[in-house]
Amino acid sequence: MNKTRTTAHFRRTALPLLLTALACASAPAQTNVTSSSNVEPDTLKKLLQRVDNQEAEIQALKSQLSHENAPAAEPAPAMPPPPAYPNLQFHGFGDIDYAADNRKGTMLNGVTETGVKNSFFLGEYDLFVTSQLSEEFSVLSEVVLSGGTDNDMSLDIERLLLQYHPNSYFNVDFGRFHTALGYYNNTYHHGTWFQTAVGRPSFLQYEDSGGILPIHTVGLSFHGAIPSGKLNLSYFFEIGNGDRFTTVPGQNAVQQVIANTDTKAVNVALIATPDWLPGVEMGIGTYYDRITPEAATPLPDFDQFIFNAHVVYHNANWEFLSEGYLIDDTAGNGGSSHYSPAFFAQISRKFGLLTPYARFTYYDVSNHDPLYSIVWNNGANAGVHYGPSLGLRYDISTYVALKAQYDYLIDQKLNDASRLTLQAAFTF
Amino acid sequence: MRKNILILTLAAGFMAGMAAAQDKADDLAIIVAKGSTLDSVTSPELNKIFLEEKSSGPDGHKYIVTVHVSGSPECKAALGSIYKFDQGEYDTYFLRALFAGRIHEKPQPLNSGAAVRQYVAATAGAIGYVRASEVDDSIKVIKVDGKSPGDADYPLKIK
Repeated sequence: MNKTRTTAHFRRTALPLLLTALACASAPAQTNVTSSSNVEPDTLKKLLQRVDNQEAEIQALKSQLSHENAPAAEPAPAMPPPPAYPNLQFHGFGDIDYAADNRKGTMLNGVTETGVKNSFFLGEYDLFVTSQLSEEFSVLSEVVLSGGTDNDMSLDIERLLLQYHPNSYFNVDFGRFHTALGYYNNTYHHGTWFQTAVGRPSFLQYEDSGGILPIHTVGLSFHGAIPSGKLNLSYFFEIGNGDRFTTVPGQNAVQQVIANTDTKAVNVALIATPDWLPGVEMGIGTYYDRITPEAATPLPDFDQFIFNAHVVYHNANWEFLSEGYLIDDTAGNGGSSHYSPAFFAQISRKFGLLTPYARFTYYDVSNHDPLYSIVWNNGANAGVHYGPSLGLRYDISTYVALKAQYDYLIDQKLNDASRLTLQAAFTF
Repeated sequence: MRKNILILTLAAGFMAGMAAAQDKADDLAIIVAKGSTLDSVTSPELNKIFLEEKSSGPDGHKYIVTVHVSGSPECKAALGSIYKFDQGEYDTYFLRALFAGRIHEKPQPLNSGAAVRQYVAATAGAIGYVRASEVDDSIKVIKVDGKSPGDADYPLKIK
């Protein structure tokens, strides 16, 4: 409506003036061409003056039109309300899945693996709440309902943080958080909707789901930017309880209430996102913990170092993720060191709503490391595990994604297997 | 003949002037409060500020990013030239940032250039964008990659 009126106004006022201006500008030219080929200084001066005047007039009209065209019919500008605290925000995430594999009751080297029995299953139901308490303080919580192999649902506080974020350079999070290990763990939390693939790389699974790393920490995290020009460095320094290595049934590996030692785990990470490599993030980090294992057969304390590095690249269509880890466990009584490497690489390419992806995951937990061959997860992670995954994500709507993934699983102590997982992941 | 050349030259100059005025009107000006010490940014810095990856400015104030409502020409221009996102990617990015605990709410959209101008003028640390033709004395326009709106190669255009 407004546009029609403006166009009509333009036709009524600007067009005649423009035409007049062009006519005026060309008329003397035609006259002079027929009368004389010499330019009188007076004529030239008048011509220039006339063009100047017309230009000014047209500019004034253009300016008037531009203001009329601007979406600034602007009756009463809607100003945002002043900040009110607490400012609560709620989001939910969930996934519903189907999986099947051909590792049904197979046994090799004495290890039993039941596999996935052609099941529909509920993934995680993730209730996410964040609230700004003041300009600098906020709280973040992520409570997840998930089912176990006994078909019972359990409730876990996966993250609970009091955050103090005064500026870009120094921020503090206090509570239970994802340890800043590599890229994946620090970027993807419990909502599978965010992840391109149906789930995390096997060795990066949560502590109670078959992973081998201290995914969660309960303690303090300091993080922020480091003034570094175009290198854009940032840091994490974290201190917390570390994981509990125990064979005692029913004990949670994440020590969120009582730690079994006085020593604390420490994690440092350095990340760069250089301006001159748009889309690229690189990082290195080291985690240290003094571990007192709890096993039927007494074991010495261990010094555990986890070295890690990652390189990832994102643009509008491509995603490339890669990260590697080296776990170094050394018995504190001068015993030998045991090294366990792990890495994964993932690549995906968006084609409109479809995103095909491929991932390769590998980890080799030393069979001679008592922490993993006896204690952690009752030794189930010891040995070599690797295999490729191929999948397709279909963003059927902005907040719903359908995914299909095929995994070929090679585990040293089990028969090779194929697994198919279908997933509907959503956020609300 | 000389007169014809002269007229053509004047006409060309006139048209070029018109084109420059048109260009300026179609540029997206980045604005801050008049008292801000921020004078210029590079495109990558601007991207980080609007993605809320860089949270405070040189004067220590926390950036408060102000945007236009989705679907407006200014919003579309900002998505393409500042964020390098489409609307879906923008929504997902801020949901992810919220989930990661980096931010606590998405940038609040305002419904007009005048509202953005008024809010930025009145709020320390606020940063936003308006059409260059909507700039007035109440706010300060900062340079992007050393260029001001209307300059050749100014990187932020409304198409």
